[in-house]
Formats: sequence, structure tokens, C-alpha cells
Amino acid sequence: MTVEKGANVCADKIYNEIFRQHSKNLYNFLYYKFGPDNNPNDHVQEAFLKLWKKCKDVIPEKAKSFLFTVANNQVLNEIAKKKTALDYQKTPIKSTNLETPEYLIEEHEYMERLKEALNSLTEDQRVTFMLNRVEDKKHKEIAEMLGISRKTVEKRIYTALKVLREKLGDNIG
Amino acid sequence: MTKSDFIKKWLANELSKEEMEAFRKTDDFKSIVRIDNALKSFKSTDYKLEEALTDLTEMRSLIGTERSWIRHLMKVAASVILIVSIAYLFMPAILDQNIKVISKANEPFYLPDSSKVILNKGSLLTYDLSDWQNERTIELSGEGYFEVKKGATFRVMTAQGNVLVLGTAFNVVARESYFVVDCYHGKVSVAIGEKETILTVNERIRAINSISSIVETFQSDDPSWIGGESSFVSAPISRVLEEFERQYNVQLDAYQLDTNLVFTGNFVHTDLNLALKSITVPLELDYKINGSEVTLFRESSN
Repeated sequence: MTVEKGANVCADKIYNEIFRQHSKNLYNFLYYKFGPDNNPNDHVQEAFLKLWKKCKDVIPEKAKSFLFTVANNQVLNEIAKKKTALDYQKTPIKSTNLETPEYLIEEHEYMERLKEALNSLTEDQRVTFMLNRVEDKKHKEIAEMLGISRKTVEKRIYTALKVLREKLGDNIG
Repeated sequence: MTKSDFIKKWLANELSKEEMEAFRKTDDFKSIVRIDNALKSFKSTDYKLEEALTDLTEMRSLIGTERSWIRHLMKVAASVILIVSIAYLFMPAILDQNIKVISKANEPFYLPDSSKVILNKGSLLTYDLSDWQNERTIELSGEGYFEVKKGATFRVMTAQGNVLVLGTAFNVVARESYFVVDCYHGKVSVAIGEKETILTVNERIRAINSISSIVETFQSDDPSWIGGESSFVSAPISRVLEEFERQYNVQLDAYQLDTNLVFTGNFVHTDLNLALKSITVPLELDYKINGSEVTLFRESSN
């Protein structure tokens, strides 16, 4: 009998490679879309276990979209899905003594408003926006990751920024 | 170029040097850069790829799958399956993959995914082995402590309510009239009727007759009954006596007792006299043992 041609996700080497390539992106996708309270880590593991069970039916080229779809549905199906709540690191970034109390209060209020604004975005807007602005993903990478066009990525990022600025009370001409 | 064109180009990293110079001077630029800097504080917590891969490899080894080399064994397997299927036809009982576990006092056992369960006395747990990989669902009546391995959603169904988790440690009491869930690690979601409650570490939910549930906090690393004690905080006396009867397999006769009594304290599972004293002394009662029957009565009435 000959060894089957064509890569198979069932092979440890290929499976692990797919994990290294996509698990972090999948984690960030779930994190920004549904928030840290909806267990992004667990859903990544669960999605990869499902890929493992179905490894005979999924070719490596389709593994990425399989994982994203499965993980997305998992969270949506979870009975106890929590409302997204992205939050910021509360540790101060700068520690100069020049900051006046007024400045600190203003800064705190700004962060709170930004948090609210981020959580008011649609899930799709938020995940696209955060992948670009915080994870430094290029438009093209995001388009591939989410299976959408570059134009849509651009539009979502621009709209998200516009919404944030409106909520923060910036003057937009 | 309009303001929005500037912003769009800036977002796409497509501004020329001159355009960038001009854009820098605008208020738009200041407000956008401020947002952009502030966003860094919302970055996702670090993803530990290698750790996750190790965990995953471990979980995979537990579930297994068909490898390509197994194809060599397919022919053999096919004939084995045929024989086994015929055998099944004549032994329908084997098809019932429901596994029942009746409490073995305080001895831990492991579910197929190596999640740990310890059942208290007088408890029954069943699960469907055939579908375990897809559905980690067990049915419980009585009391059990669970340490769930990470993986698919884990459900504990009881007549009074359901508990749903991903990987965590918790205790469930599902006795006739009351239902208590204690969360020791991670998070669990508890559904009682239509109402759903999320418990975090050291939170407890109590419900009597599937209504009027309350959430409170507690301080403990594991349930006391695992250490051979039952402990109660402001529990109705009827519940305490029920648990006592289960632990010692005795009949308690307490007809003189005020059913509104509330008990806070412990009793051990290994010494009947000591345990009876633990209950009767604080409530100012006396007791008499007659075989497997124990009578509780007021000291004064004797």
C-alpha cells in the first residue's frame, strides 16, 4: 500500500504547524470580538480539538476557515454568552511626577469613555479595528483571516474610528 | 483631499511625506493619535502558544483519531466490527452505553476525559459513554464534587437545575427539596428554571424547591464532606438530619423538634456518638440509640 498523497491534517507535523500558524490569530479574533470573559483560550482549544476529530475531512488549506467558523459558532451557541467587555490595563503607562491630579482624572475619564465606545461597536467592527490598530495586522491579512474583502476591512476600520471619535466627543468636520 | 480622505489614507499607511506633514498639523491628527495610543492599553492578554499546544496534544492523546496507518488495519477492523455488530443484535443490553455510578463513599473516580468526580453518600451519577466526546453531559442526583478538565462544555443536569462549565472545580448538591452549587475554581453557569446565574470562585447559589435562589460567598478550598465531615451554615434542621441519616444509614426520630430550627456546625462521618453530640449539644437536645434508630428529644422533657 502506498502512502496517501496530499497533505493530511491528521499528521502531527501538519496539525501542529496549523496550530502555530493560526491559534494566536484565532485567540485574538475571539478576544476582540467577544471579550476576554467569553473564554477565548478555551474556545481556541475546543476548535482545534474539533479540527482533530475531523482531520480526515479537512484539507490544510481549509483548516483556517474551519477553525474560525467553528470557534465563532461555539461562542454564539454558548448559553451563557456574556456581553463583550474589553478593558484596559489599569497600570499607568507613564510615571512622571509632572502629571497634575486634574490631568490624571481627565485621562481616567477618557479611558472610561473609550472603553464604553469600544464596547458599543459591532462585533465585526471591533475585531477588525483592533486587529489593525493594536495587533498591527495589515488590511490584507485581516481580509484573509476573516474571509472578507479588503474594501470591507477598510470600511469597517474607518467607520469604527468615526464611531469612537463621535462617542469621545471629538469635533468631526 | 478631504479630511476623511486624509484619515482613510493615514489608516492605510498611504500618506506621502508631504501629505503626512500637512496632516500632522490638524486637530484630526491629534485626536486620532491619542485614540491610537490609548488603544494599546486594550491589547489582548498574552497568548501562551507553547503552553496551549502542550495542553492540546495531551487532550488529543485522550480522544485519539484514525491515523493513516490505521488504514492497514481496516480490513481486519471491518471483520471485527461485523462480528461485534452481530453480537450486538443478540445482546441489545450492551448497546445501552449509559454508565451508572452509584456513590462509593468519598472515593474519587475519573470520567473518560479524566475529569475527577467525588460523590457523597447516597448519590447517583449517570452519563452516556457513546456520546461523551461530543457531549460531556452527566446526570446527577445527590451530591458530587467535580474537577473538570478543559475541553468541550461540561454539563451537570439535575432535577432542580443545570450547571454548565468549561474547566473548573465545583460542588453540586441536588437533593429532593434543595439545590446548592459551590464554585471552587474558575466559573460556572447555573440554570434554575429560566433563571441563569454565573458563579465565580468561592460563590455559592442555594435554591429550595427550585425557587428563590440566593447567591452568597463562602471560604473553603474544597467541600468538607470530602474530608469526612458535613458542615452547615444556617441550614434548616431537616436538611441536617437528612444528611445525617444518609451518612450513618440510620433512622432519626425527631418528632419533638421545632422544624424551624436552624443549625450551624459540623459532624464527622466516622463516629456516630461524636456526630450526634455535634448536633444535639448546640441545640440543647439529648439522644438515645436503639439499633439503627436514633431518637432526638429535648433535654428538659426527659
